[in-house]
Parts: sequence; C-alpha cells; structure tokens
Amino acid sequence: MDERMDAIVVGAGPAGVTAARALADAGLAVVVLERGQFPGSKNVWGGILYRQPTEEICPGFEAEAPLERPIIEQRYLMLTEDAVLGATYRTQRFAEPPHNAYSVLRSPFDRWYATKAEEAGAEVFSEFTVTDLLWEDGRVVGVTTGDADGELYARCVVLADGANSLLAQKAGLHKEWAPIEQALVAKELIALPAGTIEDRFALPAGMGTALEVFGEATWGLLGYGFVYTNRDSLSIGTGALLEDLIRTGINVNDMLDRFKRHPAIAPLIAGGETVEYSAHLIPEGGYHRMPRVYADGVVVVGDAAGFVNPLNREGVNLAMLSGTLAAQAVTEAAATDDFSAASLARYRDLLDDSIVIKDLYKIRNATDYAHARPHLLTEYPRLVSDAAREYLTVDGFSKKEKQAKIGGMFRGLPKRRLLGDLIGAARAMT
Amino acid sequence: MGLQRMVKDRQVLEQPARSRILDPAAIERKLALNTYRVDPSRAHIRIIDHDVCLACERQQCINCCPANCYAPRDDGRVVFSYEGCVECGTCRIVCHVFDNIEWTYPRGGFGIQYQHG
Repeated sequence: MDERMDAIVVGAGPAGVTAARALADAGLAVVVLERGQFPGSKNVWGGILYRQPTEEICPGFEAEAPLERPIIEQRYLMLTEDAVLGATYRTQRFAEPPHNAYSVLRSPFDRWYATKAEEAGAEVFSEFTVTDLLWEDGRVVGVTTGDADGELYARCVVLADGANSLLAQKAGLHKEWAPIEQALVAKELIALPAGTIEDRFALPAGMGTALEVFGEATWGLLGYGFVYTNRDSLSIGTGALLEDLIRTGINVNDMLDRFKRHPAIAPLIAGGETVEYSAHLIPEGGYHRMPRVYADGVVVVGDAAGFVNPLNREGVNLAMLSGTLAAQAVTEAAATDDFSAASLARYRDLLDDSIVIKDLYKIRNATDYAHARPHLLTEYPRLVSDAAREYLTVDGFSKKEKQAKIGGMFRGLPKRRLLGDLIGAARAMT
Repeated sequence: MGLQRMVKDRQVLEQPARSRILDPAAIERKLALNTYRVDPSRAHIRIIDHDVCLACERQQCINCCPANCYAPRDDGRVVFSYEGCVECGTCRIVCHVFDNIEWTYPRGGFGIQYQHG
C-alpha cells in the first residue's frame, strides 16, 4: 500500500489538468488517466477562452498555447424567421494586449495544456477508461479500468470526467442528471480562408469576433446559437436543454442545419467546408442542482460538478479554478494525512469564497425564469421586428399614422404578463 | 398577427408527436468527416430489453441522438448502432422513464477522436 499515489485524476480536460499540475507543483505524486487517444480528443466546446483567469492559473500561456484569434467584438443577435435584430460591441482595447479573450479549439488546446501538468511532474496516461471506483471501509481509495491489473490506488481521487460524470454517480454524489439539467449542443467546424473570414466579419487581420444568436437560432427554444471566428475556420453551433428537445421532438442537428440556412447566417458560412461535427452535453443545472462535490477520499471538479455559467458562456475558466481549489484542499489534506469528507469539505469552503459559487449563485434563477417564458425568445423579437420594419418602411403613411400602428402592435400584449416578465427579470438577476 | 402566429407555433410544438429527425442523411454525411477508432469487440452502449421500447410511445432516443445512432424497426422496436456515437450521453438521460439503456464509455483509446473539438 505504500506505493499508492497521492492522487489520481480522472480526465485530462482543463479541470483535471489544472488540479494535477497544482498537486504536482505541491510535490505530490499524481497520475492523470485520460480515456481518449490524447488529452482533448473527447472534448468539445464553443469556444471562447478568457485571458485573465487563464493567465492567473497558467502564467505566460499566450506565448505557448494554440490560440486562434483575439476576440475584439461581441455581437448579440436575435433572429425571427426572416429578420435579424442585433447589438454589437467592439473596442480597440480588446484588439491590443492584454486581450480579453481568444477563440480556441479544444483538442489542440487540451493536448498542449496537459503537457503543462507533465512539466510539473504529473504523469498523464491516455487511453485509459476508468470504469469504477475502488472502495475500502466506505471511502474511495482508487480507480479501476475494469481489466486485470487495471486497479490503481491513491490517497485521493479527483473526478474530472466531464459533463457525463458516471463516476460522480458511482461515488454516490449525485443521481442521474435530469433532462432539465443538461443542454445538448451540436457544432460544426467550417473551414474558410482567413481573408474571407476577415472580409465577411469586417475584422482587422488576425482578429476575431463572437456571435451569440437567439430566437430562431434554436427554433425558439431556450438556448443560443453561436458563430466564433477561428484562424481559418468558423465554429458554429446551436443547442437547447434536453427537456425542451424531448418536449418538441427537435433533433439538435436539424436545429443546427436550420440555423445555418437562416438568411442572416447563410452568407457568413457560404462556400465553407465542414471538417468536423461534434455534439456534447453542457451541465446547466446551476446552483440549485449542484451535486455534492466531495466525499471520503474524493473530490469532483469542472463539468463533472456542473460548474457552468451558461449566461456568460463560462465553463473552462470555472473548471480551471475549481481544479486549483480542489488541489489546494487536497494538498492541505495531504499535510495532515486526512482525506476524510470532513477534511475535504475545505474544497467546498474554498469554492464558496470563489467566483465559481458566487457567480452560480448570482444566476441561480435565470434559467428557470427564461424557461418559464418561451415568448421572450419568439413573440417579443417578432414584435420588435414588425415594429422596426414598419418604422423603416417609407410608404406614404404619415409618421403619426406609423406611430399609431406601432403602438397598436404593443397594445396587444397582455399587460400582466409583461409586468411579470419585468419583475421576474429583475428578481432573477439580483 | 404576430400573436396569432405565436399561438399556432406553440400548438405545433406541444403536440406529443412521435417526430423524427428531419434529415438523418445530413448527420451521416457529417459523421463521415469525423475520426473514429471503432472497437470491433465491444458496443459500449446497449438497449437492455428491446421489448421495453414497444411501451415507449415517443422513443426520444431516436429523436434526440445527435449522431442518428438509434433507428426505428418495422416491428416498433429500436435498433442501436454504436459506430458513429459521439459519446454525449443524451440517450441515457432521455431514457429516464424506462431506464432501458446500458451506457458505458468505450475502452481506452476507442470511439470518437476529435481533432479540433
């Protein structure tokens, strides 16, 4: 038993690798087990990486990491069947270092990031699927791949096995996810020459933009479509909560293809060639549905714990931060050789004091608010679109008549519901 | 006008229809672009009891799977093929009423291998 590792990390995504690297830095013996052929080969995201939180955890990453384009602009679009409404924010400050965010492709990024854990002294083994936990006197003492000789023991296990964490379930930390707790997103990577991308999005050379698209992008369901510019490709995707996909019988790839055909989107991707299709769950249960994140001998980090902020498209930064905090708690536990749940509860305390829990708490009611109001993404945008078309169409009616017409459109809205929407929004955001 | 159309749309959406993927061929074309290392010795996902699917009116595994891995059979049962699976977990969660899917990850190194992600 003396040859036990100090920690086994399951999953070489951002959460697991961050934890492994910090544990190795603290002088602990760490093994990372990754089920893909290489770290990142099972991983998908939108994906925008924020600089500041990444720099905090991995100083100097910009010089080494495979990054696509600095994001200098954010566009929020609302689609109706035939129209697009939108808001754009672009600033020169985002175009100059220090940049705010980068577009990034996960497979190359995660592959690179795993080498940082190796440099710190962690051992990363690919092509090992952990199938179960090993128990001793009611506490987790290791993992198994299900093969003969597949058992590996450690003083502590860090579960970083992603959105679909079967191991957190086996650890008894949460039951199966409910369809309301997971969003399914389909994504394509569409190759286009860099110059074409810059022309179409009016971008300076090498710079990028991020589009988040609501309404018809998701067939009116709660969720959003996105278009992010990479160096010589676009990431385009769309998704919704599983509960709504079940209710409506919509397939997420049909939703994506419909999004791609929309007259506001089709010209952006025209002539591009799809090079990869992916689909992934996003744990969006939020604060109210968060599982327990520690038990005797085990902690849960990243997507496996549901640390996603869908409102601000944050996930990887929260994953990395949770990995850091878990490593801190595990390092402290190692110093006193106490890996009991009572000792590892320190991880939850650290989380509570961090933006991981603070932000999830802040937006805890946002999903329920929007989910209960499907008209926010369908009816209101249509009304605004109708009003804008009326206002912009010059057709011989006097401005006074136009005003009356537009006023009439809005008078049709149920007043009490409108009031409820406003009060609800104020409550959900505070 | 706008409101009426909205109501109509909602009625369409809320029918408990046994809707089907509109364009399964589109998924197949996309999956062909991906890199897989298929494990010839083992299917990592299995429908536990095919007769249970007969009692499942909407068969959401077929609708929801983003890789079109589930297909209806003429006799009302469902067939699953694992080769194009992207290991997302959707089918397991949408089968929560019957809990009729045995879901594991492929062996280490097998299954979908994203080159871009």
